[in-house]
Amino acid sequence: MKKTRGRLLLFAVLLLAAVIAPIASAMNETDPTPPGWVGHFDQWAGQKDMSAFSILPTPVPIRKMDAEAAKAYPGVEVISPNMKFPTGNNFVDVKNSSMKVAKIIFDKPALKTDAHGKKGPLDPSVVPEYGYFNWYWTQDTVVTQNISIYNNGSSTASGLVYFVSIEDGFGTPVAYTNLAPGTNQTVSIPFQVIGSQSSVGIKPMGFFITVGPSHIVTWSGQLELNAIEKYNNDATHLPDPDGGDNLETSDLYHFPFSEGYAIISEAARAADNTSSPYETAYKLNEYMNNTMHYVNSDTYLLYAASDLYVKNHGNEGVCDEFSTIDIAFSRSLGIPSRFLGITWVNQTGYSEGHAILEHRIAGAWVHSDPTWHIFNNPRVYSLKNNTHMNLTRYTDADDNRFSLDPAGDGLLRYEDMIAEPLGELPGYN
Amino acid sequence: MRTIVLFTLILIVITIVPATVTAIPPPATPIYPGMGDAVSDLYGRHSYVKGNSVIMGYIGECGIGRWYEKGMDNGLLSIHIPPEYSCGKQLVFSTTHAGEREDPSQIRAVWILNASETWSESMEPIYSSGETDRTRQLPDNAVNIPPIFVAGGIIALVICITFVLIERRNRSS
Repeated sequence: MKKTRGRLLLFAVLLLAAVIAPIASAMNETDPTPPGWVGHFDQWAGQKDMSAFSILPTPVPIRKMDAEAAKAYPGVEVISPNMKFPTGNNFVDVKNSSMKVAKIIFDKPALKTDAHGKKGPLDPSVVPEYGYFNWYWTQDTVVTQNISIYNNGSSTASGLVYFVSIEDGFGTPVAYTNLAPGTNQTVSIPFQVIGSQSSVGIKPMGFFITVGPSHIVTWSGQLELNAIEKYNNDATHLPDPDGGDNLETSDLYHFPFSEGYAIISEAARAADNTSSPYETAYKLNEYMNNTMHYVNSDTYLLYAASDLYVKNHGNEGVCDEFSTIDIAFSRSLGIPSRFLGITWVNQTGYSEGHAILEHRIAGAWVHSDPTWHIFNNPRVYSLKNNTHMNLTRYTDADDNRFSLDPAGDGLLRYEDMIAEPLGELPGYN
Repeated sequence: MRTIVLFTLILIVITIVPATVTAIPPPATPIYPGMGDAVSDLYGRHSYVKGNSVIMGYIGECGIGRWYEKGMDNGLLSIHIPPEYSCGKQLVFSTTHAGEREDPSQIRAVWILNASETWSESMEPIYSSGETDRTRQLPDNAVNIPPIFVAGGIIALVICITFVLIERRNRSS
């Protein structure tokens, strides 16, 4: 009996020693975790390579338009790179401009330049007076540009007016005939926005006028307003599965049309020269992360600020403002995007909330977290040891819906929106 | 035998009850995006702070209050972290906020100020990016015993007591 008891006690002592001895021997003030032992997560993981969390998309090369490619597009011509488009000879008439179309007035109609930008006496001299220019270009559609031209010379003129996408190097000519001296005529130019030969973003617009069979250039210039090229949302391109709900500019992100150009052109600059929706969305995520400032104040914690509010208040906010602006920018460039709230249970058992967005690309929803600069990696939250990632789509914002909060101030409560629970989506869990 | 059963039951209860309590689903009160956790956002947005011993030392002592960012004249970003608990301090660091997510060299300077002080870029930082010492700083006499050892100790003790009880029972019979 004594032998058995002795064995048991020896076993117990050894067991205790096996647990306590390494702690006592290896612990010190600077490093409480014994060497070679598993400590807290951050210690045994060490420096983590997070590059895989943000997948950098590979740019899709754009085929530059050449004479051979232009044959596939009747009416399209390649413009010589030697053609000059001087600036400063026109201005935007804000009063007579509307969303998508700007009236541009040409303040130096007597300016005569040849193809090399050289001034000289030309007769007949046909110059522009004003024009209505469509600056919001949807890929693989035709945008009509209307230009009023005037014969400033002393003889009747016939010739061509070319509207040009300067960056892409191609344009569309339209003929005018028998323009008598001292008279004007409006020329409508159906310009083709060719998606396969062009990227999205800022597109400098220009045009030039020629006269006679030898095509003498009597005027050329770059417009003061740049066009903005966006993706096409028809069924064969980048459709929204919710019938346009994820493309509304006046939904959660209610900037009025009169302010549209400012926001859309900023979005176009942020994602300029991208040629796939995936690449564009990544660029916008990066732009938000770099230009927005995280400010954890009551206003941004309690409210979801509209895009205009954020733009007018120094690009500040928390995760929902970051996501709101990213969505406004993405939608303005034609990428269907939805605002999502995500909650999870963290390591200590508490629930936390966060705002992200998803883009509809190639028939799938692609995750984007501009606050954390994470793109297409919905597992990032579970990799941080959170569980039960639960998603809710917020849509159809109406500042009047929640009566306890003043309407029209650009600050919305989540009670102002329709919440559509999506549950614990597999991609996130 | 009864004693063994009793101990086994107690062991099962103390194991299962806490696990059940922690597994209770999240509260029914809605948690909206934007009302979320500033700590997660700090580590999510500036994950490289985990590689800076001065910042992590401050966070360990004072917690993370309502932090915010500001653009600086030199193109850097300043991050202001007030304390979550009253520790009489506040921390500011400047960052390029560019490059690899985990690279702590993005942090250019760190300032720890008194709670009432106003930060200025011209103040002397307590850490600048030229420093290489990234030793983890812990409060004096800190004893950090990982939970795995505590659990192991408890299990060992329970086994010991069980053995003693078996011995007693054998002796009495």
